[in-house]
Amino acid sequence: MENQPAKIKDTQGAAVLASVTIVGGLLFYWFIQLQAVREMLALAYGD
Amino acid sequence: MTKAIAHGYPRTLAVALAIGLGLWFATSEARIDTWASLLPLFEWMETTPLGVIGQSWGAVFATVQAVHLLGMALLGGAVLVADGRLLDLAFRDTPLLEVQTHCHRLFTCGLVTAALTGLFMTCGVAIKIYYLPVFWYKMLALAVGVAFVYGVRRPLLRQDSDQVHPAVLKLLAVASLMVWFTVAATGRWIGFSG
Amino acid sequence: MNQAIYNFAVWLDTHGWSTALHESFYLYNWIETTHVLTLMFSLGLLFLIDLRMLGLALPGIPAGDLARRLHLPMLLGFSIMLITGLLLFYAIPVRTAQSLWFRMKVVLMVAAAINAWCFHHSMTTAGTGWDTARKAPPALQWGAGLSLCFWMLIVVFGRLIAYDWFDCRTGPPEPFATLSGCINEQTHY
Repeated sequence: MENQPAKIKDTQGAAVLASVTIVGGLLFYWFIQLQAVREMLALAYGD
Repeated sequence: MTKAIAHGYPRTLAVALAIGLGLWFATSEARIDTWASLLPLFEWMETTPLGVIGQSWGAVFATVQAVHLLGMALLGGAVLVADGRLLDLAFRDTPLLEVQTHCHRLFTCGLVTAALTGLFMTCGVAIKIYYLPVFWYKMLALAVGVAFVYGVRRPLLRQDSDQVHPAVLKLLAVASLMVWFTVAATGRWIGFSG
Repeated sequence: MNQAIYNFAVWLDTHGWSTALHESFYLYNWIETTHVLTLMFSLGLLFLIDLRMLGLALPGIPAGDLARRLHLPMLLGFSIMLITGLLLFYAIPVRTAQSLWFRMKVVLMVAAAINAWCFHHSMTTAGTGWDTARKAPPALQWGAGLSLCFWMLIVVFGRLIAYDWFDCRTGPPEPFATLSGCINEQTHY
């Protein structure tokens, strides 16, 4: 890993950046979605 | 120094730029303006032959939906095997490049099938889904997924994977599984909304 | 037989859980979503195995290896589909039991199961040597092709259950009425 060719370093950097953004963004999205469902259920049935 | 980064890391920079643009778009007025300007396109889609067929023949629409599901199944199988290999859960003794190349081909077949049938379905119910946020979430996830697969994942895996850090391969697999799960789940939810 | 199926479905319908499930927006939709999304799991893996046998996918992986290794996760997917499918049936028993599409789907699933059993049998008796060939022996190719056809139709029919063209309350003509299991004056929603 120490002396990776430059091209691999670049695509690997792009992959890390894209993956982290996707994982983070989707965790956030699904958290919000679940939160909305819980609020809706709380409204319907109480806590 | 900056010049060196710009020269050595064009793809990384492109991804960073795309993320920045996406964030700016999501938080600016431009998002609402773009959405409003797309209404005529969706109105027009319903008047195209595809839209007319989709609205008048329930049987055709339902069958196309079923083919959409079949395309999804193929895409899902390809993603599971490819990501299972990246996560070291399956086919550890088969060369990574071999598994990725063939799964990628199947993935493309599944994606094209699902996209074509999806276009037909969109034409049939264009106005209804235009007003559904979940449809736009799906389109966003799909666009991100396609850009991710063809712009980042495939270029990386086509190279000598021994040179790539193993953790990166696993991260790639997790992101890919999450994005395609989201595309499918939000898609299913379109049917329950509106 | 139609009467027996009908009585059973009506009996299921009297359960409080069945109605509760049907009327619960989130629970019903989650079960339905799980049922559909698991397609990508079970059917996706099945497609890969079948396409490999036909020489259309993953030529680098020995066919028998592929089938054996994907067998367990595939069955796991199919069990999830079966459980969620039974729950969906339980939520709307009478209408589903009298649905022509559902009935054809069940018949095809039985056919697919028999085909899978035969496929498994010919795979274990096929010996060795065919594994690394691009295509599997003819018997296995036939099995794989049939399996693909069955499952594609099962998905189509499954999707069509949502459509009521042959529902008993619409008074379908013969032979559809008998095939759907309509019994005079006995529809119940």
